[in-house]
Amino acid sequence: MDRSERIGLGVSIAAHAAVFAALVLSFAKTPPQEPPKAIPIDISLADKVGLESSAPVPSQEELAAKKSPVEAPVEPEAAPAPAPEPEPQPAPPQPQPAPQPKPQPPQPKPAPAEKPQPKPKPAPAEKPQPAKPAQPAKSAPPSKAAPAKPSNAPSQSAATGSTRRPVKPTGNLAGLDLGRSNNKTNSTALQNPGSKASPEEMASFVGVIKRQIQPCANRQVTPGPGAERIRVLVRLHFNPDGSLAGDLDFTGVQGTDSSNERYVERVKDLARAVFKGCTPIRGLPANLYAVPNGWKSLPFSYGLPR
Amino acid sequence: MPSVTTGAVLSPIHLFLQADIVVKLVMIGLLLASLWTWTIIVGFALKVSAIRKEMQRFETEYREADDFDEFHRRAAGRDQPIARVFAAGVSEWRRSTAGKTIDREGTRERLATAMGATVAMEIDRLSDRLNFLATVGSVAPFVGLFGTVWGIMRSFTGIAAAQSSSLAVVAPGIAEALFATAIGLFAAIPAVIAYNRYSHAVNRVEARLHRFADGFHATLSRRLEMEG
Repeated sequence: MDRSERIGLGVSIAAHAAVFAALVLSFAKTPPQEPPKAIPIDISLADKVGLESSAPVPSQEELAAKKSPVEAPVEPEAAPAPAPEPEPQPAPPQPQPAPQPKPQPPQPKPAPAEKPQPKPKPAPAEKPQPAKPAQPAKSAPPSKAAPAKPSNAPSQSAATGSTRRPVKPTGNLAGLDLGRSNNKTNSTALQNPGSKASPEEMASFVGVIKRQIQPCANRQVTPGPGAERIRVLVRLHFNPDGSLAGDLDFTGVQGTDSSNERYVERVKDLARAVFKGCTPIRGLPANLYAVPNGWKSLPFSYGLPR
Repeated sequence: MPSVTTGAVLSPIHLFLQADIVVKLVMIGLLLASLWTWTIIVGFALKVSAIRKEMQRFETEYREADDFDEFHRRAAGRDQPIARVFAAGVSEWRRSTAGKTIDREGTRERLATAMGATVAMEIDRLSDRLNFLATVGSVAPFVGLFGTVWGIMRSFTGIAAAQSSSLAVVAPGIAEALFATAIGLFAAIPAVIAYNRYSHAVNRVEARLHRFADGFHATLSRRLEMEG
């Protein structure tokens, strides 16, 4: 190793040290990136397909005036006989016993365990009552309308041609159609409750409630260290207008230990304040109120914001 | 391992410290090779430029000198390749012309052989270190690759042990493994460039020494005829 190589060795060592230092410094200069924080996400598993049928119970009112249009055209040119009117009226009472046995056969099929319990409540209690007044009152107009049409028909057909034509000759099929359309005008059909809230619907209105509760929940301050680990389980009872019915049912407490035990009552008070402060809830689906899994009574768990 | 930040993972020190012992040895070896490569590169550059300058000056002085015996007295002691070629020629000339009868053909041959041998020896000495550059240039990538393969094998074993193929498990091992290849290339690329460049430089020095030796041989050959 001669002089030039000694110089070379020195230069080489210095250059390597410089490169190394530059590398270390350049990497040290890049700000250490914060590892992405784990943002807790509430996951609600809503099945696409409910294991239990959530289809609405088909209207329990009989397709009342089915026959009337068929019968009515029989005597079109005759004087508008009031006679067919009383005829359908006795008919509706006949089907009414029928709906009660009807709901039972479909019920055992999808859910033998749960269905029979809630069914009797809404179905016989609410249904027949509006149905009875509705039936005589509203099944009457179709039967009236049916004979009224033919009575108008001659004059109209004379004037405008065959606008009302289908009513007359088509018989059964047209009558069925007419009867059904008449039936739909019964306002009870609109509020026909779903037989059961599907998991998706549950997730939806639970989400609605959570969203509206959130502002109140955000306002609360933690009463002490460790209190945010407490979760109280509550069951809320709602009125149909979305307000709370009565007090909260505290069904349990989670996450307590010796350090935060004394805050449990305080957290319960906070939960009460939160749920009372931001109710009534608006925008809940009215037809899912009193059905099984509906929002009449819902379990929630409340914890302070961390 | 969420606590390990990206900057720390890529820092050379961390990469080295996390590595397996085999990969560490590879890295150290490659680093030493790189160090020695650059020593040779810098040293050779200095040496060649010095030799060129010396040859330039020596040839100028040689052309200006009236008598090579007198010039030999001045210049033969220098520690220069071209001076040693000149001295070899002169000493062979003296030995061959010392006797009573002079074999001209034999003397010419001996002069050419002696000076050619000296040139070859000087070139050998000059290019002594270049074979190291060639070796580093061709072998360092493979050594680095070996370290990488070893490190990746090890990190795959780690995946199997952790039963998780998440990037956090795989990434540090692969990064440290690739670091070995990076060092290998870091050592090899300058070595290859320097080897090609310095081979060319050595060839030029050799050609120049030969040209000088041929010129001196012609001078001595002329003198031989005059003396005869």
